[in-house]
Amino acid sequence: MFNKIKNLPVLVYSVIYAFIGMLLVLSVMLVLSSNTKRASDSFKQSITLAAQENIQRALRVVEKNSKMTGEGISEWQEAQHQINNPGYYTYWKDNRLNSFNDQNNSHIVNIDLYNAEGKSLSNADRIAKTPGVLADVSHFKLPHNNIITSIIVKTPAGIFYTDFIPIMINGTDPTQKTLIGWVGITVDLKKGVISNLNSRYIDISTLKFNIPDGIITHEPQITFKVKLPKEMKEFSSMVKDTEIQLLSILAIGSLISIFLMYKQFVHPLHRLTTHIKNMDHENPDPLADDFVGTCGFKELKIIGQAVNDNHAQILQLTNDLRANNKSLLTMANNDALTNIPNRRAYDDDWNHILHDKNYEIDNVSLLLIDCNDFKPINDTYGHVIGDLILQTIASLLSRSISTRRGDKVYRIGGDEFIIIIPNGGHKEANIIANRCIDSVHSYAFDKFNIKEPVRISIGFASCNRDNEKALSNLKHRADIAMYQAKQPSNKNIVSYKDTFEIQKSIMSTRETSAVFQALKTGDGIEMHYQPIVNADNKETQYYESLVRIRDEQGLIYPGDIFNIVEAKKFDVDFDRQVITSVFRDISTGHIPKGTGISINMTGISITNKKTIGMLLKFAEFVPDYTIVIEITETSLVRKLDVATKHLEALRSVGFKIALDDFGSGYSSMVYLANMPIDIVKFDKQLIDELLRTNSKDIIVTRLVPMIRELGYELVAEGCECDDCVTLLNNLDVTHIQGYYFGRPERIPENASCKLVQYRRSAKK
Amino acid sequence: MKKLMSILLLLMLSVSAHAEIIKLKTETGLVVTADYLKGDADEPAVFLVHGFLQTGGSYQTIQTLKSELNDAGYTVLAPTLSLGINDRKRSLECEAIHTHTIEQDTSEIDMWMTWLHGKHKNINVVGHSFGNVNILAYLTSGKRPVNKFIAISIVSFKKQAYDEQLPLVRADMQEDPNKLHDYRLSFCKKYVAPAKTVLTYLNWTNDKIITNLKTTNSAYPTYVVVGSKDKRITPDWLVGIKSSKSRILTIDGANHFFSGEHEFDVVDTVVSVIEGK
Repeated sequence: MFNKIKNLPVLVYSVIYAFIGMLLVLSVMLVLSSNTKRASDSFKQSITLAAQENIQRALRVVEKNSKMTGEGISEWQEAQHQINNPGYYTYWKDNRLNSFNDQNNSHIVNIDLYNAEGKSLSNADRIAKTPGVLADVSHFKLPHNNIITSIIVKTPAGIFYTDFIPIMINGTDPTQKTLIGWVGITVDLKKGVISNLNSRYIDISTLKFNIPDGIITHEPQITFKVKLPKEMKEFSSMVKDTEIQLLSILAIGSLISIFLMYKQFVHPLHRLTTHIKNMDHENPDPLADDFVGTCGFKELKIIGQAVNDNHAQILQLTNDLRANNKSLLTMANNDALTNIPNRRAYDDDWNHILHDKNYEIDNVSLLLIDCNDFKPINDTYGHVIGDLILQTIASLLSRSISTRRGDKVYRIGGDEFIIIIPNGGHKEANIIANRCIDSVHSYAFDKFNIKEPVRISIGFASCNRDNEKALSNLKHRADIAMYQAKQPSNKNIVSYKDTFEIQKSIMSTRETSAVFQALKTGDGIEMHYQPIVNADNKETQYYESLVRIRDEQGLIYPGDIFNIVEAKKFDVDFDRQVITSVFRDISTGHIPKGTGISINMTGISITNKKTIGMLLKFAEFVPDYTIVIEITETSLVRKLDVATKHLEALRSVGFKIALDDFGSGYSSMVYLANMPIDIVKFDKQLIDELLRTNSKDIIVTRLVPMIRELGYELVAEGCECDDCVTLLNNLDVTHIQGYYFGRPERIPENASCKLVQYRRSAKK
Repeated sequence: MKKLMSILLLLMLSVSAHAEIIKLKTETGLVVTADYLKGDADEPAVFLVHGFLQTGGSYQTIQTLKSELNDAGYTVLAPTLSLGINDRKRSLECEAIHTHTIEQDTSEIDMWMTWLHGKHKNINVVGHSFGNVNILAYLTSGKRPVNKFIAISIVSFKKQAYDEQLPLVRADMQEDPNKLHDYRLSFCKKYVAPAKTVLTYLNWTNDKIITNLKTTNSAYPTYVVVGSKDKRITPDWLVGIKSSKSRILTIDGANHFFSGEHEFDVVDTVVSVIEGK
C-alpha cells in the first residue's frame, strides 16, 4: 500500500497530513466529549440510582407511616370498641378516627375499620364517595396471626395504597389475642411518595406509577425522569461551549496553518517542481526572482537559488551542446565530399514523408541518378578526378531542383544520387530529370582533363501521398526505372511503369529469394570446383571454387547471382558465405589433399578486416593444400593501401594472390603494379583473341613474357579445345583452366583423363 | 440522684413483686381488668374505685393509694371499669362515644367485689371522686358487706350540669334516646353519648347521692376525705355531706386530686381510717 502512495505530489501529502491532523484533533475532541459524556452519564446514573433509592425510601416511609398510623389505631381501644359496637361508627369515624389523619399524614385519604370478616364498618354511601376505600376486603383473604397485608388500587381518582392492620384484643388469658377487625389506612400513593421525597434530582412532573387499572398486591413500578442539577447543566453547557470554542479555534488554526503551509511551502514547492519539470529547451527562462519572496522556508529559498544557478549553467551547456549538435547533425547528414545531404539525411527525410501524417503533401517523386561508367573513369583518372566529377554532378543537380518547393538532392552511394520532390508528380519529376540531364551533359567535364563524356542515367517514380503501397515502394520503383535507364538501348531518363520485366528478374524472382536466403543463412550455397592444371604436365594443380545456389528448381549460376548481389551491394556478405562454404568443404575432406583451392573475393571484401580474418583460418590447410585468393578484376579496390596490407597478411601465411580477369578491364596494370600479386589470370577474351588471330595478336603475345619476366605465375582461362591447348603450349603460361580440362563440378574432377586425351591427339 | 434512682427501682420491684393483673369477662363478653396487690393475709383488703372515665391502673391518685396501701400491708384490688371498652387500659376521653351506663359500672364493681370477697372477708372500699357514686350505687344494692367506706373527694356533677344538661338529656330521650349528642358532663365540655346512657349518670343527683351516702353510712362506717382547696367541694356540697352524718376528714391544702405532696397525706388518712385510729 505504501508503495502506491510513494510518488504523490506534495499537495496530496499536505492534504493527507492535514486530514490526519484534523482526524487527530477530532479524535481528541471525541475523546474529550466521550469522557465528559461518560462522566455526565455516570453522574446521571448515580443520581438516578440515588433518586430511585429516594423513591423507594419515600415508598417505605409512606408504608411505615401508614403502618404506624394503623397500628396506633389498632391498639386504640375506642377503635376496638367500634368494632364491637359499630352503632355510632360513622360519628366516631368522622370525629375520632379521622383525628389520626394529621398534617404529617395529609396524604392519608381515608382511615376505615373493617370487621374480622373484612367488611367495612362504614355505610355503602360513604364508601362510594371515598376514593380508594373498599367496602369489602374479605376477598383478599386477610391473613390472621398478625400478618399485615396491603394493596394498591388504581382508580380514575388516583392511585391509592391501603395498608390493613389487624385489630387484636386480649382475652382473659394474657397469652391469647383475638382478631376482631382491621384498620385500613388508605393513602394517595403519589402524594405520599412525593411528600416524602427529598431528592432534588427527581422531576416530580414525570413521576409515573406503572400499574394496571384495578387492584394489585405487589409493589408498584415507578418511573421518572432525572432532573439534572443546575451545576451539572451548567457544567455540561460549559463543556459543550468549550468544545465548540476549541473546535472553532482548531478549525480556524488548521485553516490558517493549511493556508500558510500552502502559501509558504506547497505552492513554492509546486512552482519549483513545475519549473524544474519544464526546464527544457522550450522554457529557457530561469526561476522568477519573486519565487524567493514567496518561499516561507530558508531551505526552499536555497533550493530555488541553486536551481536558478544550475539552470544558468545548464542553459550555457545546453547552448553549447545545441551548437555542437547542430554541427554534428550537419556533419552527420551532409556528405563530406559533395557537401549535399547524405544517405542518412535521405533516410530521415523519407521516413518523415512516409510516417509523419502532419507532413501535408499531395504527391511525391523520387529521382534516382547514377553516373554512367563512373568506376572505370575513376580507376583510369584517379580518385581526385573522380571526386571532382562527383562534386560537380552534385552541384549541377542541386541547381536543377526547385528548393522553393522543397526539392532536395542527396548522395546515397559512390556515384548514386537521389532527389526527393515533395508535392511533385510525374510531370514535375520529368521536368527536373530533364533539367538535370541537360545540366550535367552540357557541362564541360573536359576541363578535368578527361576524354570520356560524363553521362548520368535517371530513373524516377511518382505517386500520390495517400497511396501507401506505392509510397512505400517508391524507392524500389525508382531503382527499377534506373535499371531500365542504364540499359544501353534505353533513354537516359526512365519513368517507372508497372510493366517493367526487370522487376521480376532482379527484385522478386526465384533467384532473388534464393540469393537473399543464401545471404541470410548460407542455405542453398553449393560450391563447384573447376580444375586448374599445370601447363607442363597437365596435372591438376588446384581447383577454382565457383559458387552456385541450389533451390527447388535447380541451380542458379553466378550471372544471376552477382547481378543481384552487386545491385544490392551485398558483395562482402556474399563473399563471407562463400568463404564459409569452402571452409566447410575443405574441412570435411571434400577437396583432395595435395591439390588446392582458389577463392574469389571482390575488391571490397579484400579491404574488409573481418573477411580477411575469415580467410586467415584457411592457414591451417596450407601444409596440404595450395590456397589461392583471386581478386576479381572487375571489382574496384578503393583503399589500395588497406588492400595491400591485407594481401600481404594472407601471403605471409602461405596463400597466393591471383589477379582475376586480367585483360578485360581498364586498370589491371594499375593493380598489378601496386598490389602484392602472385598469379595473373588471363581473361577468356584474351585467349579467344589469340585463337582468332592465330597467335598474331602482338599485345597479348608480348604481354605473356612480360608478366612471366616479372615473376608472376600465369593462368590462361577459357581453354576449351585442342587448338587452344596447342596454342598455350607455345606460350609461357604456367597453368591452364577451362572446359577442356574440366567443368566446374560439385565433386572436384581430376583432370588426368583430359591429359591422356590430349596426349593421344598430340601423337596423331 | 443515683441513690434516688436506686430507691425508685427497688420500690418498683417491690410493687411488681406483689402486683397482679386480674382479668374477668363480663356477661356481655367484655374483658375487664384489675390490679391486684396482695398484702398481708391478716390485714383487711382495700377495694379502690377510680373516678369518672379514669382507670384503676394508671391514675396518679389511685396509683399512689394502691402502692402505699399495699406497702402498708393491705391487699389492694383496683379494677378499671370497662366503660364498654374491652380490656380498657387508658382513661376514656370525653370526646369518645360513651355508651356506658352507671348500671354497667355497678355490675362490674359487683363482679370484682364478688371476686375479692372470695379472697378476703374484711374489705374496705375506697373511692375517688365520681367513683364514690359508683360505690354508693353498689353499696346501696346491698349485695356484699364491706368493712368501711372511705370516699375521697366525693362529688356529684356540677349544678350546672343538672340545671342545663338534664333537661336537654331528657328532651333528647324523648326525641331519640340512641342519638349521639355532645353534652357537658363533669369535667367534659364535650361528652359524646346518647341520651339514654347519659341519663343513667345524671339521675344521680346531689340529693340522691347524699341520700345514698346516708344510707351507706348507716350500714357501714363511712368516711369522707376532702381537700381544703378542692374547688369541686363547694360549701353547699360539704353541707350535704355533713348532713349524711359521714365523718369528714379534711386535708389542708389538698385539691380534688390530691396530687403532689398531698398524695401521702391522703394515704396516711386512709390508713389511719382503716386501722381505726
